[in-house]
Amino acid sequence: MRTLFFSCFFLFFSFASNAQVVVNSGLTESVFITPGGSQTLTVTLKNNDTQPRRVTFDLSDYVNDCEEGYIYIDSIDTKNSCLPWIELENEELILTPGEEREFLLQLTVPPTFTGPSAKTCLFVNNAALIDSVQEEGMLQFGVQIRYGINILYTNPKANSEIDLYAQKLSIDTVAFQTLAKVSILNRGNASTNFTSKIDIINKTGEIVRSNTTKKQTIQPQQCRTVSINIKDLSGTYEILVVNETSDGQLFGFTDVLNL
Amino acid sequence: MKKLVLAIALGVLIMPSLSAQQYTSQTVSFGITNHALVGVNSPTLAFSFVAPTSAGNGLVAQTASASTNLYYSFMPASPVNGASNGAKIKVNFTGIPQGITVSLAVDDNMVSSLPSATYGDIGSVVTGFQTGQTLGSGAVDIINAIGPSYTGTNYYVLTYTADIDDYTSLSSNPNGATPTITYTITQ
Repeated sequence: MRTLFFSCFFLFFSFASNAQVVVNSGLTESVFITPGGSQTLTVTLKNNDTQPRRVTFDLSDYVNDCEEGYIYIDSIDTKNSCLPWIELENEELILTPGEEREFLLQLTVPPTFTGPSAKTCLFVNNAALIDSVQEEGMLQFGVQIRYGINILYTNPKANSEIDLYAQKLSIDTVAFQTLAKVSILNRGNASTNFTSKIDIINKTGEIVRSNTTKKQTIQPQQCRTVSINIKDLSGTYEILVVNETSDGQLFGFTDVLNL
Repeated sequence: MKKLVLAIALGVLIMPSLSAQQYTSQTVSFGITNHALVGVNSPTLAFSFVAPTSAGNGLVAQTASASTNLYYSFMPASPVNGASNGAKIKVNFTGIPQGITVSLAVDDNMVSSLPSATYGDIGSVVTGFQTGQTLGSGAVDIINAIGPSYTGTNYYVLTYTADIDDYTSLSSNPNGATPTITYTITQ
């Protein structure tokens, strides 16, 4: 009985999460080289399936949208793209069962590049799985798992500028919490790390709620949302948000909350 | 006197060696490999639109649902300057047949209360998908703010609902190709 249980458990898990090629390296690759330079990046892949698996690779530019996150685009985002600078080792690979191997790509920055940063995304696509038996009256969707590895280039010779702009305040009820959310946009041209201290202040100037967020990264034109729990508060309050970057720059935001 | 001088000399010789042993250090490394895995428990997703058996009737149901369970494991590379950089899972459909719209609801009841000390920073369902949201052609975030974490035997339940919104556009084999759902994990 016990053997049967473990067999079922193993089969379930091998099916649920292992039947694919997975990425055993980071989902973000940061490059800091001067224009004219070149760097080889390594992506570690492993086939966790008991069958040979095929993966394909392609590059796609994306734009950051505060509401929808990354929006992948078919064309090249000319001003902000490092897609044309990248040479892939191959466009597809077949990995034998259990095989682990490195996939290489080379990024060469044109010597004439003067911008502060550039980015693109490398997709590692598992082949879509489909049921070989097509049933009448069934609309079938194949399922594909893919990995999006962001490649972020920063030009160490360019002047970088950070501008954390609080562009939207909203109230959201999630599960048992009511959250005040502030959407922060980096209007600058460089990535940075920042923390946010959020205070809710009542009419007498007393801080009634306070939250300091974990340090997080933000790319140019990317949005990050920070929040504070305001459950059980009613009346008029002021929300004060102070964002501090890793190099000590401060960006503040204040607004009135009518709850 | 000779013995005393010898004892002092021996003590002077031994002391530095004893003292050096107190400060011996050893390099320790922890081999935590970064990784990203997303899995679903079904290789295909099928919606049943059963043909009518009596003349004059339409398809038996105008709506069909299908569910799948989603698991993930995520360990980011060493954060830069201690900054977290949460991952997200996006979904997109390609080839939704004309005349059909698909919506998705993500149920995180099984994972939302997992203890973070054991399972890590489990991601949050994006606003709108808790109750269901229509999917377009682009990739949209469904789970974000994923820190170092894993779902274990728990999972998100993804319930897709396909609705016929234009009967005139339907055909039994819309474009001859299998439509695809793509789950993307990115950071």
